[in-house]
Amino acid sequence: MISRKHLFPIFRIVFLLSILLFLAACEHSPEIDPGPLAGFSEKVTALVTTTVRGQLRDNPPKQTLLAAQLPSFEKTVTMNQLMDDLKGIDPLKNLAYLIEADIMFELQKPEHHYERSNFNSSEVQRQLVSAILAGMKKALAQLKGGKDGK
Amino acid sequence: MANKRALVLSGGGAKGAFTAGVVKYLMVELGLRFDIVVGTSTGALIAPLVASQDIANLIHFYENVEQQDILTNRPDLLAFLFSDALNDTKPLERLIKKFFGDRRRYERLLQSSTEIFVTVVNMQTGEIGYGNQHRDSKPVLLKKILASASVPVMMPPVKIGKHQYVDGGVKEIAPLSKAIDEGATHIVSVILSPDSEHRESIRKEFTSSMDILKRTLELLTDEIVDNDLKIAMVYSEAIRYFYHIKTNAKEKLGLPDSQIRKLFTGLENPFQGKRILGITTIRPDEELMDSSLNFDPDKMREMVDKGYKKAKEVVSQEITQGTGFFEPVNG
Repeated sequence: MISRKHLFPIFRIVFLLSILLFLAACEHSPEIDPGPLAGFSEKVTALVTTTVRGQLRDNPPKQTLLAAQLPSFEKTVTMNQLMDDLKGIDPLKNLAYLIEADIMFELQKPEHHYERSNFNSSEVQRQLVSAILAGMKKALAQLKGGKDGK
Repeated sequence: MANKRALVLSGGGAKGAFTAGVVKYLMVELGLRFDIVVGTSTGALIAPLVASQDIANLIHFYENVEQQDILTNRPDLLAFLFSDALNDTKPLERLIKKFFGDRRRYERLLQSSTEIFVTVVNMQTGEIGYGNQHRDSKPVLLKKILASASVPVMMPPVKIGKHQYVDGGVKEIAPLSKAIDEGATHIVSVILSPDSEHRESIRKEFTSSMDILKRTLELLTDEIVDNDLKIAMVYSEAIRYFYHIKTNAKEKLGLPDSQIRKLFTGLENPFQGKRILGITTIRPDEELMDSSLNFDPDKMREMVDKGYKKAKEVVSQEITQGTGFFEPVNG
């Protein structure tokens, strides 16, 4: 018969082995990336990122121009104000229309009923401005190949 | 009969990022909607997102996915000898469940007016089959999406019932014929390789059997795509030709409709119920990448932008030619 004295080291080994197995299992089932986007803001940012990146790719002067305007865009309160500011810069005018198309596309969906009904509220406007700005920054970072572009 | 617009999405793994760019231009910028979406392989992953108009998630997926999110390597020699594939697709299976299996997202797919078809090949019968949101149950459709993306040997076949299913691209990379069978009147086809005029020849000499096998598969794949497109084009031209014969008989020979119909009675009409078809093909001018399993986010973002640009170029050419295919449809 195995004595208590002999059993203790066996339990210890079993315990350690189970921790090792648990860690190994964790390593083999990493968290799935990318997970789907759920919210309105996240989706607007994704669309705007692609639009800005596609329009400014191979055009460093426009990239510099947009990057220089970002601090002033940060001060805008509504989407219309931000779009008007963008349309005021001739080389970036077309970009403003495309961003508007992105937002309208997302907004017309049934799942964004809340944002559509409360479109003029300060909450939704603030959300929109920050989603657009996040998209612009992400696109510029991706064009530069920076880590923020991920 | 109303016009039916179809989007046909070919296979090509990571090159599907090009399709994401094309779709973004067509649906977000142009406001187009499709009645049918037929997808093979990577196109099968895109089809449900197009039907639910979830373009943000479509581009998010193709701009951020990496190889480990799709498959995990099995030790080469052991896998080759003792298992059904060189890689494991558990990560892709989880990704499919996460993107399409979610109750609310799946509900949107069921309610969508866009019908999707994902192509699969039955390993036992050798027949091509399709997954559809209304004809298949949710678990079966999710399995068919996975099967459609499962390149044989690289990825394991997917078992549904008693049969194993693999990538529909084995037999049909650009599934235009399904769109025709479903009554499409205008097909926008996205193909992820350049046409024969733009294909570059390879100058090196092939010395290893693996290289020769890889090159042979490439040539076979190009041939399947060319044939898929050629069959649809010939079909479309034939319908147009018969239409012109009938019109000439009426206008130039003054024959009444009843006599024209008599000319065709007793003959089996292979074009019964089919209408003149418009086909728009959007494909890159050069090879997008060497390996379709190279999921590099930087390269994929570049491909999204290339797809967007190419779609814009093709559409503006068609608008100039006055084909009438790209008049916005309110969806």
